[in-house]
Amino acid sequence: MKILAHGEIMDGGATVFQSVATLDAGTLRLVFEGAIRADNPFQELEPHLHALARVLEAQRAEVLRAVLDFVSLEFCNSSGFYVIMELVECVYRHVEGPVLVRRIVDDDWHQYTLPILLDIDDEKIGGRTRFEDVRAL
Amino acid sequence: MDERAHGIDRILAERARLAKTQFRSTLSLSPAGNVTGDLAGILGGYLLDLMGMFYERILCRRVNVAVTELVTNALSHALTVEAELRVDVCVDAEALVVEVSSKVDDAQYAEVEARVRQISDSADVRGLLRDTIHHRRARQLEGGLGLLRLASENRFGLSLRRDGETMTIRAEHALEAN
Repeated sequence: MKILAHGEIMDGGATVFQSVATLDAGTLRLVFEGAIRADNPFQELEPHLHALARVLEAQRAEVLRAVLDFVSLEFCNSSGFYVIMELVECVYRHVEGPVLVRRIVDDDWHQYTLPILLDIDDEKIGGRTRFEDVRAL
Repeated sequence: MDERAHGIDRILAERARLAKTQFRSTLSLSPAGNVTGDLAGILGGYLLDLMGMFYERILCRRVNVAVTELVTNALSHALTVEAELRVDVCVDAEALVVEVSSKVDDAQYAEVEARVRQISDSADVRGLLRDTIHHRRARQLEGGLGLLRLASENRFGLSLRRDGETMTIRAEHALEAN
């Protein structure tokens, strides 16, 4: 497994949110972990977004499918919606294969808002996206 | 019935008993201008943990979202840093209610009133949230999603009242009867 990109939001010296992209046997996995509560999360995650775009562009031929894993994302304030959109758009733009979205079954954000942020109503997105609902740990 | 089934029944009965807990929490801060950290996040996280003692996780998450978004709104729109900020959270058998009060002027009240009316009048709140996200993102506009999110994502009913310069936003989520 190769780590492609990593971004984080720090608060008081501790990591409160991180996004890690890895590549393993043709599968890109982008994991979201922690809580997005910052007023301007884009500012902190912009370098990560650019790094992800660069590395996916360079490795386009090697990435056959993607997993977007939100199971460890505990909270996202409305200021965090746009940066989530930017990151998932970057994946859909660079990965032509199927996308599996892992989300929590009994969380309103995961079930109702996340599909909007993925732009699931767009046939080109919805047609190659599958959801896996899991119970929170 | 085997021992395992008895155990599961006991757990379910205990959860049903805890879920009937009546909960009321009030926070009053004055002056609101003395808030220097992430009050919305701290309070939302605290209530998430505390209420987890009694209720299903999904209900606690709704409290967290409502408190975070409403307190963030109130602090960003507060008319004066000298004013009081009040947060009330109540859960009983019928509903989960979160109310946040702050001081506003006529223009601020009218802005929030228009937004609440737009949400309440919408026949497709999900579509309204989707279109608003795309519209505001394209124009790089900050904010403006919190109330809509509560209605679309968490199915809160929103209402507004005013007492002098104090505006109270009420978010109410009806609970299913057990």
